Amino acid sequence: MADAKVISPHEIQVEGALPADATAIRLVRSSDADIPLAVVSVKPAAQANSFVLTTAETLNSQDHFQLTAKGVDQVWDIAPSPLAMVVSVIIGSALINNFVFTRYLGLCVFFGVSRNKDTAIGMGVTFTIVGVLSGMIAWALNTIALVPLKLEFMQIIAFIGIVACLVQATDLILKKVNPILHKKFGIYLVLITTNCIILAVPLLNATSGATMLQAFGLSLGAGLGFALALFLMSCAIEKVNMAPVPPVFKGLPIAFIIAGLFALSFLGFSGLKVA
Amino acid sequence: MSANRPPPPVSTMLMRGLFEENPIFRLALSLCPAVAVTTSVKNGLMLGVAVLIVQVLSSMSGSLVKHVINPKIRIPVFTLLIAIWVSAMDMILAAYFADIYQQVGLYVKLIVAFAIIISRMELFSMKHSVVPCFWDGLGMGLGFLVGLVLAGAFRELLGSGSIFGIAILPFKPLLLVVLPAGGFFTIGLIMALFNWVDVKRGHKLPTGGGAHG
Amino acid sequence: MTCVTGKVVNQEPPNGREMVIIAAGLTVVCLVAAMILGGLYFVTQPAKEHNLHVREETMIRGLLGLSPQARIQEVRRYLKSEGKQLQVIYLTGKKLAQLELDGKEVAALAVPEEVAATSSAEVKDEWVKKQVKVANPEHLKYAGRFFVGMEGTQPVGYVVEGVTLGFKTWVRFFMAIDSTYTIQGVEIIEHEEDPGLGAEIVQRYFKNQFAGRNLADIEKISVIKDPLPQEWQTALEQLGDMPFRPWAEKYREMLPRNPNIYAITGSTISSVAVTVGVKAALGNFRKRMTIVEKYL
Repeated sequence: MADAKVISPHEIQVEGALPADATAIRLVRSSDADIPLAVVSVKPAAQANSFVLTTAETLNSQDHFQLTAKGVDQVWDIAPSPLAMVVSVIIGSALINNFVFTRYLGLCVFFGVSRNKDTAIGMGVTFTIVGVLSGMIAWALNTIALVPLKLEFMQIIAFIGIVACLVQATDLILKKVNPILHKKFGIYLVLITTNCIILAVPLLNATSGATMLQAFGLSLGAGLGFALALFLMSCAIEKVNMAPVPPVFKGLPIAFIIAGLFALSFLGFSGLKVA
Repeated sequence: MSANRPPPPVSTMLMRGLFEENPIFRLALSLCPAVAVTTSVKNGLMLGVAVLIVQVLSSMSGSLVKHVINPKIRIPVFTLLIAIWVSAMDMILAAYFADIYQQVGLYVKLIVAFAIIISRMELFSMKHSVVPCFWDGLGMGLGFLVGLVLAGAFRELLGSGSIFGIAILPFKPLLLVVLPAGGFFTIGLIMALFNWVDVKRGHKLPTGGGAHG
Repeated sequence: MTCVTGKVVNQEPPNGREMVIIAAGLTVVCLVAAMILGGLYFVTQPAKEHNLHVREETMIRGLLGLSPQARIQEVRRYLKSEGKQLQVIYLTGKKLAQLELDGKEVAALAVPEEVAATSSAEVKDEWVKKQVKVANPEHLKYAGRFFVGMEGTQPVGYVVEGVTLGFKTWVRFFMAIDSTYTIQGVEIIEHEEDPGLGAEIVQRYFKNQFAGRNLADIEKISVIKDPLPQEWQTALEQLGDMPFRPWAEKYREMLPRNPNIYAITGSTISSVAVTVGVKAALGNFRKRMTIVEKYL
């Protein structure tokens, strides 16, 4: 299938042969396939064998479109590329909607573990790995079993069961395979079970009907975002612990204020859009 | 298994949850919703009530089953119990309180991961019979509820100029407070306030600062 | 919290026989849990659907200013993509019409009473799937719906359900139109925008700006960043307290003086998203209406 993509809010670039007559072209949004969008003009593009369509209506680059033309056998499917979509989901959940600073999840563990850089990195890495695994397994269970059998009300139990089993299994495997690593990371494993994020990721995937790639992106982004948040916090906390903090603020209150400042700076990501 | 210890007086159990061992501001457990849901009093109230009910029911059911289960699988069974109550709560809220549920839905589901509930079951339900568990659960739940409503009132008034949806100020003083960053600031400030009250009452702050995770 | 996890870490791992007993015990508890929750689901799910339906109906009645005797009829649209040609299928209260894209009728069946009267989307979709034979169930998909408000046998207004991509994720809304394709009101049903910013799209001073505009107005309408004039804001706040017709009469002169949509401060993207959504919904509805109206 030849390529076609949305290059601006009113233009689509199409690879292939198109008639010069704009009225012979039919462009529709896949979800509104019975209503053709008005194509204003068809012009040859700078690349060979490509054309630029201009439309009257505004086009959303996240939308799915279909393009057909009279006398041409080919059908073009216009959709955001899977790679671009996964990258945008990852960046979305790691930066724009960072699970700690924007969605306020995983705070319980967050404040306990961000005391120094090493524990922060350890927790971040462990969490990302377990998070991606549990996210994918939970997605598979949900898609294959829970939804078709109409058992959605079992989601909470199923997801937390998966997390608990995965944590337990990882603990046992790690102890047998690499005791050194187990000594280093083992304690973080157990803390993961009470981490809100690990349960939130499968729930979010389930409610938004994510595809496998999207679920993977969300789990990975969540883990990376959490690791980033932990690392940043630990750097700041290490410095703060050496500063003269008023006694009533020592400990958690000042940590919250710092987290608030980080949250403010992460707000700067909120307009970020990955093409 | 473990014999039931004599429970502390009811008033102590209730007051403990509200102040000395306030889950949010002192024990610093289950913070996620405290920041997320307190954008308005209504949201905070709804989640607070949900947590209160789950806390009470979990504490009571934990106390009921403690003799029947193998101590090795204690934690998974507690987690399952909590998951049952949370799923039930989730379904009931979705059916009968749909508009508020839309805002706090995800956090209701996450109650199952709240450390406060399972740690309370471990610390209290294992050692006391059903009725004291009810009071303790109620105290903790009330402390949580009051914390959420307090933070919610602060953020809603400063951020949107209203309380419970009723406009009090004709303008929005500080929109920042309603955004995530504001949530962190609010909780930090209220925690410092709790510490300050503690100092005024003459209790010494533990070294390294007040509330610890 | 750390004391809880400490206890778990220090326990000895169970031996083989204990593992079996533990696994069995957990399975039993899980099954009991599943039964309890399943039972509760059985009870609450109909209540959930019923409450949802009641909320939608109240919203539609409010938007259209219907009398208590008026009926609301749902019209569901499906797309059948089997074979070379795409077909559109409409399920109205009277007919199931299978049409080609230009409106030519392929088949029209009468709709049984129970299907027409039910408020359950599932029942309707299942019935449609049975009547329209497709080799691959993926090829028959639900595509959208609108509602018709009927006083007696006369349609007095329509409510179109539209979806648009907001700042964060999808925004769903109801748009009320009268028979001259003039917008009577907009209600935002679902969104995940930021409180105080994008979430302001549900406030009267934003969503009511679409009221009173006809098709020609909406086609040219754009979003401007100027501040909302105070007297226009006062007028906008009143639609909802008073029904549409008296409101449009009272503020007849203000509408042409405010031909564009004033964006919400700090939420241009959400404002534009709703405007684009309303434009598309109105335009699409008019094109579809010419085809479907004879089956209502």
